Amino acid sequence: MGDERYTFSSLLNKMMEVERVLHDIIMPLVKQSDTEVSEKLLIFLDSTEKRVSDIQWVKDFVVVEMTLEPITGLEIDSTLDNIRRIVEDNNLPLDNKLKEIIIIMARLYEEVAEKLRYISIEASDLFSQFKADLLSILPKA
Amino acid sequence: MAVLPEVRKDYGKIPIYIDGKFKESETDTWVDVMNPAKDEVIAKVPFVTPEEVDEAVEAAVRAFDKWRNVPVTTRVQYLFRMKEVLEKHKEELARIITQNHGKAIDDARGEVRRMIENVETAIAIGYTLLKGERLDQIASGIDEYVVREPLGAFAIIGPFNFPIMSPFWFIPHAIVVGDTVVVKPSEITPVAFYWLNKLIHEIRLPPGVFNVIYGRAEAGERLISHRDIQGVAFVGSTSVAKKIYELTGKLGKRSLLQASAKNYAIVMPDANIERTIPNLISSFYGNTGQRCLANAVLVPVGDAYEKVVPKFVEMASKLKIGYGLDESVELTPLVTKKAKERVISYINKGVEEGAKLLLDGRTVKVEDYPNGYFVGPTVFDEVTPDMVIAKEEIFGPVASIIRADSLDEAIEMANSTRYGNASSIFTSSGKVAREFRRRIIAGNVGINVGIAAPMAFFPFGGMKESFFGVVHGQVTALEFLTDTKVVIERWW
Repeated sequence: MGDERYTFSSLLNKMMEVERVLHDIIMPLVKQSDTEVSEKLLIFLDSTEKRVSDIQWVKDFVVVEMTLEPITGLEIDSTLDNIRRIVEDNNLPLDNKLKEIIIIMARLYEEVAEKLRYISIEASDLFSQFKADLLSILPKA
Repeated sequence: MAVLPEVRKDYGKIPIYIDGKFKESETDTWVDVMNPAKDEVIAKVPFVTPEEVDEAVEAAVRAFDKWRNVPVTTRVQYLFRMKEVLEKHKEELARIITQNHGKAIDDARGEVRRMIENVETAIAIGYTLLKGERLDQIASGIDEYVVREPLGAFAIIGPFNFPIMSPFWFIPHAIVVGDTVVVKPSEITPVAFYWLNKLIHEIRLPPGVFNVIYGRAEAGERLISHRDIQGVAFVGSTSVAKKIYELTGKLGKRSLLQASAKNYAIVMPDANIERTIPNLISSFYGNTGQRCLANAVLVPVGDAYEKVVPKFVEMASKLKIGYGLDESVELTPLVTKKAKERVISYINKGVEEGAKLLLDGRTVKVEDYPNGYFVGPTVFDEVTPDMVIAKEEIFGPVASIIRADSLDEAIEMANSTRYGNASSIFTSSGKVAREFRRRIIAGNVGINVGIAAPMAFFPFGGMKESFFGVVHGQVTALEFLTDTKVVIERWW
């Protein structure tokens, strides 16, 4: 586990940053492809600002009842590095790259949702929803 | 991480508020109000003159005669307006709390939220609990009922650690029942209350319903002693609460006094350690230990010690220290330089008494804020119940660990303190939790909850020397602020 530490607010700030970074990293890839996955991912990326705004809303709305429990055990920076590596990997077919990124991001959303479950159910549910939206892009097995 | 902008650098001379008007105090005593992270002056607060205290009470008394006759539905509307304006400005209030008090911004946001919850609760009181009781035909042709009546002008004296929330355990309740108030907020952290005062001014309460003065003990004593003050609600230290209790007793006035604490957190061997540790950290070090609900003594029972203490110390040692307006900061400065010196003297005392220092916060340096009143997270092991650090309220980021062999021993230790504000247990056993809940002498009890903070629609508890009075703050303030009239009625 990494050494990342967050407060409730700083984690949500970080996730807003992640949304935008992710958008900038993946958008060029998505535009190179015309598969069903890339089309759906494009729609997902187009709603980046909506997700940012949803995170901001939950940050403003949630009552953080006098709690400042340290949130540890997340590896957001290394997740982003991992995504960058996949983007830059010339040996990986484009469609596989996109699928792999989707799975990695969905895992991150899930981990964040899990960490927030005991602090704010609204915030936790939001990230669970992001995860579900993202995974729905993948073809059913 | 970026530091959020301050609302203002300097708030100037804080005005008093009497009879619906702001005015500059005529006092010669103006005291610097500090930003504790930077050791910078951000405002000046007056210590009002005796005449100004009287003026505020007289305004409240004049207003009472009219205010009590304003229909409750109208009084409630003022509170709806109050909620609206507070919601709109909640973020700036939170930032000012952080700038003046020092606490982390998420903590300050929590304080503002809880303050607003008290307004919501008072609205609910107006529409429900204020109604009284009635029983028809208690005898042939006779009905009996209870009406709740307001009493007049009340004094409300607030603490430095929750500068706007704690006075709101009483203010909206007083307003909705038809009382009027003179508030004396903390003179150490008055800026957020001043800002709040400006917002309340916007809702256009009738002049005199809400009045604000600033000062120290002399002003408080004059306020309480004024013959037209019906009672005093106070949140602060036990030493002051005792003095007020004596004074109000002598004067035959009501008092509701929430006071100091020395809270124990008992951790059983079967506790969920992964969830318990961050919760304990938040309890011991949130608001830099300056909460009356903060746990101060950690009691691992049996082999819980090995499971809890190393992880607790490790997590405490990694707390990010800095200015509370940085949203990633976890531990913030103490409220004043004097508070810092006081906490350090307690740490020195613990060392002298023979406790083992596992983590020493005395020499902590915060690079960007070299002049801030910071004390780092501190952990003492091998503390015994007779040591000063186990008995007295330190009100700082200091955890004292006392081992216990059994639940019985842990409860006995927790109950042996002079205070009874809060206590927590961490366990996976419902039986153990129930046993603890029934035997612990504390007004606020946490079961797997490190900060047992009652919501606004519950009373804020307190036992032994943590509370003086009969009814508590928040929702039950209704009973403190009104009297009941029992009417037995017959018509021929």
